[in-house]
Amino acid sequence: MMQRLDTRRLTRSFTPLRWAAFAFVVLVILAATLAPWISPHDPLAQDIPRRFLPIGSPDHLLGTDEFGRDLLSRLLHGARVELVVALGASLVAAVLGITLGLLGGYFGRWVELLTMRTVEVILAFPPIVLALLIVTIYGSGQSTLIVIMGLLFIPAFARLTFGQTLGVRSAEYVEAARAFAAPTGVILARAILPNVSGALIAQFPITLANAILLGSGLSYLGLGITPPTPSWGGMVAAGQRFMPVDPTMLIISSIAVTLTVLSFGLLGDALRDWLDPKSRRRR
Amino acid sequence: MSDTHLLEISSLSVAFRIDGENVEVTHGVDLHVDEGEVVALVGESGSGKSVTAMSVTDLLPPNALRSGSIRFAGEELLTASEERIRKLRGDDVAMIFQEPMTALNPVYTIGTHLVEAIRCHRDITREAALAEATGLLEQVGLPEPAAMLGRYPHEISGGQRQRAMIAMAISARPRLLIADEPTTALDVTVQAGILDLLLRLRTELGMAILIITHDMGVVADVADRVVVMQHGLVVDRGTTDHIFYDSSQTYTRDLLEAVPDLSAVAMTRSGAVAATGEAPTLEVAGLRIEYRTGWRRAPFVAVDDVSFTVGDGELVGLVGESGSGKSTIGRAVLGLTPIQAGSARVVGTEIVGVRRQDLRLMRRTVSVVFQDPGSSLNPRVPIGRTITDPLRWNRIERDERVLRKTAEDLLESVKIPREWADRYPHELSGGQRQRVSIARAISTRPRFMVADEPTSALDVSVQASVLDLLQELQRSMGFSCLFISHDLAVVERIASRVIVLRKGEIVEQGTASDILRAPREPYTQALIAAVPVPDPRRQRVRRAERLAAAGRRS
Amino acid sequence: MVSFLIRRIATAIVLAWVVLTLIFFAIHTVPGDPAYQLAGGDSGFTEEGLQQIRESLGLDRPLGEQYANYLLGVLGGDLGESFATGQPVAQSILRRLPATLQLIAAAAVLAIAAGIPFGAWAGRRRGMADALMTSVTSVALAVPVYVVGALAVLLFSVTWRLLPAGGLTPFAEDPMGFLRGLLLPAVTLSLAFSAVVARMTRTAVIETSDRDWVRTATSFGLTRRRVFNRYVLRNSMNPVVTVVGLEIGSFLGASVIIERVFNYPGISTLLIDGVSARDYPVVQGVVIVIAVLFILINLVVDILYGILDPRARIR
Repeated sequence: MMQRLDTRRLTRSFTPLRWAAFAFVVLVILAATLAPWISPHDPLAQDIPRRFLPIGSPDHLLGTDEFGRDLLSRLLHGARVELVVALGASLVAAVLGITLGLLGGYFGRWVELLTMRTVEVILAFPPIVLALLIVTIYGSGQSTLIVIMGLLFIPAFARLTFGQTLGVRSAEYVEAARAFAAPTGVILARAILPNVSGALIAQFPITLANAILLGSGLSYLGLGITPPTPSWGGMVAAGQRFMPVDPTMLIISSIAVTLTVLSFGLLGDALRDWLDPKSRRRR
Repeated sequence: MSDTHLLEISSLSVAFRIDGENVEVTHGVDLHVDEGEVVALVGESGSGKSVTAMSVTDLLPPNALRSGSIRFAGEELLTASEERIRKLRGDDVAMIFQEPMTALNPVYTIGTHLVEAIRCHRDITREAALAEATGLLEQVGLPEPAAMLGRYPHEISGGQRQRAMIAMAISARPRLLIADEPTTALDVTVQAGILDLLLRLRTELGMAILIITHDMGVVADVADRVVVMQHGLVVDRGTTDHIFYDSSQTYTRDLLEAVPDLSAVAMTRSGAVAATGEAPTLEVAGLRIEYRTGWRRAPFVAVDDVSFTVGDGELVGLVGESGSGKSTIGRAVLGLTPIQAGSARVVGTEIVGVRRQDLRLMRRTVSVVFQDPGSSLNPRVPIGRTITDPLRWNRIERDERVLRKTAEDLLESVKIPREWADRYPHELSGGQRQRVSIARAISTRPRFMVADEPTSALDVSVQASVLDLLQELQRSMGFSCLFISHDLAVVERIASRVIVLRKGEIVEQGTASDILRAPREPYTQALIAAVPVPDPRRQRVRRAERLAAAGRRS
Repeated sequence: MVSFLIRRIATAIVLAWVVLTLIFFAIHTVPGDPAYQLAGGDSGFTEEGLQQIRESLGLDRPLGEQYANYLLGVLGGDLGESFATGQPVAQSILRRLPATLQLIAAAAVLAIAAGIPFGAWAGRRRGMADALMTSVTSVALAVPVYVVGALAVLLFSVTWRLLPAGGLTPFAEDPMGFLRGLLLPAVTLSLAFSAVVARMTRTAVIETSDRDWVRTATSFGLTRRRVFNRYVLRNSMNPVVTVVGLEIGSFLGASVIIERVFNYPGISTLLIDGVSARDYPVVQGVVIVIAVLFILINLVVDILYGILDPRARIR
């Protein structure tokens, strides 16, 4: 029973720039998904004599890194790695965070205490620091990262859902539903969730962008995705190390990360303008 | 006597630039205000009255465009410089607004606001300004003015905030005060006090007042002349007596027809339905409801030792001002708010300590209509479906085709076209949405209904038709109803019995005519006396009586 | 006001205790044997040798006793000894803490000094100014902090040779050198933060301008400037302070990365090296210090908010 898609708001929320961002996001996702099939080379294949090749070299479109590995292939596989981790983390955060926020916001009292206080404890740590602590204990690797970052991003979803749920819960149609003996599940599913989902859907790409930032940051420090697995953060770190010799490595990987994060952020903004009625701004 | 009006608005048209287009909101408005007189600008929502008021000192949003002429004491304001207008504001033309809570900056004390207003046009020291501020607070009738200076807006009541705002407005002794719905958000007894204050200040300061309102009772109470607006146009004007008694304009007559008139001598309506002999549908005894306010503080008692009944087929009015607990009782009786002590039997089922299954059974026979047309219906669901939701939730009917037909029948019974079943709430007007709410409420053929201020958020003309609908349905379907309202006139019109609440306790109860014609308790008397009736001659008498009674009491 | 202060401080203390406890249990539920790790994961050690290590670290004591010792130690300033160097952790941290604090303070000041005026200007002017600010801040927020840092080093140190690439000379020795060493890291660190501050200021200014009390102030006859400063900007500071509080976590995290990018002699190097080497006492120590710092900063922000908004003092 969803409302008809508001196509007018859609065209108004998506400026040309945002459409470009959407297109770029699709591009990145495709690249990441198809990386194993479209990479010209094996990202791990070293070729020391042919290292630091510049952009446009025959057989190596974007050049090679300090070990002679093809940069384009590493970039594509790096996208895959970053995206898998970020997506996994965002999904975990969304499912857990939304549940906590919804329950806490609707039932209030001790349920609220339990759910939202837990969320606040997570917020008591600077995210990277907590991540580093966990990495120390459990080691790095994709699955550890997904779990840690998933946990770290729970508060974003939980708080948003909590706030939105509070707002909707006091609406009269919810009170009326209770008075008319609607089962709690129905109220949550039909009355509350559809009216908060707009803001939540818009939050997802934003959390994804933050997850990429955090994940690649950890990889930069050498503590997230560890070499030789290609990761954008790691590539920037290597790029920085070999800057005097070959700045292109640094520049290419920096552009890749920045554009991706930027695009997801813009997409989130566009979705919010489209789907979240409360974020309306006057021109 | 000078020929120049103090304020003269001619052919004023205001348009808003929205998405690149100019949308005209008022068209060619003419009105004037003379020294020392009180002019009421009346209209329903969308009439353009507030916009007109705000255009005088250019307090409109930046995308507003004014054309025409606004002259103050002969000086043309539309072409005046910004600096000139700024000097005019507060000093010559002051304004007070509708929502005192949001009209004051929450991070500054009342004293800070006042000093700001006082020192705005005059070069005096802060100490001198503070002394003056204290005097002003006294003048507007606020107790303990010195202490009030240090209070924040959220720490004082709505009526006090409005008085403080008035103090700020008169601080520079303006010649004209524009009051935009100054009492709409206030209780009726508080409203009377504010209106008294405004009239007193008019005399003391020789100040003219342009009061914007939708309440015809207020107009009859305080205005010398009236200007009526509809859809951005002035449709009627004249002295107060002329408008109320002699006007030939259709809109004016319709408006006056629709306004509920307390204790009108002519009893033209057929009267509300009294109870049948059957068992009462609602029996409340010794009800006590508390709210927790924090860990170590004592709980707030919202309802204390309340007992009353609603007979089978009866429509009982539950009346009170804000904080009286009337809505709390309504919700408690529906099982939405926990009850601390006492008992409440709803259609035979005791709510206090009820089991889940029994509560669900009870809810099949009980329904509710709420106040806010903006949020009483789920915006994501078409109205045809919302209407029959109670049938679904209570498992009374499962077949979607039957439900669809039922929905359409229900729409018809509340005078909404059947084809609209697929429309969404935002496509309907406020009054139409309330009708849908009512349709939803009768879908289960309830024995008992709680109506919590169902018409308070609607325009007067719409209000009348919705009330009529409710009354008609109640008579034909025979359900009993607890009608909660702050508006005595509305309650008198449809209820057979009335219960008066104050601060969680019952002050008085009895038949509608008893309560309203011969109230015994002083509070009830004061409450009734404070309601302004839309009849200038009777209101003048009522005003004199009320002030005399207050004078005797003090 | 006083009860508000007491409540906030009490909450902070409780939170600090919860955090300390969580850190303790996180580390002490480590899968595997820390003694084994310490011994280098080398199978050359005998069980006796491992047992000796355990005893010296107090790992064979009951958990409750370890916890009590831990808490007492932390309160007394004893954070244990590094597995790697044997040096007291507290000392190592103390040596490097001032540099980190200077960096954070400088970046925070820069961020606020740049962000608020920029955001207020955009919020007031709207139109082109607003579009400009929104795009600039979008980019500033999208660029990962390590990218900004690396590119800054590339530009300013390698290509143009304007500023040092890393390290930091103490202020006492060479004030100008100190400032030059601090400049690049502080500016880089402040970038994302100032973008957030600017955005929030802009949004707050736009929303506050619509509020009724602004109209009331205008109706008094106050000048536009006064209305803006005292009724719009002043109130906008409330949500700005709130968002600053929310961003401190990311900010501190970013400082960790910045210290690495610029080889800045702060506590992050300790942390990162400790993580790589699985040097638990060091990691634990630095995490505790950062977490407590975080709680303190949040407390200050909370109190500041209470000063700014009288309605907040009730809760």
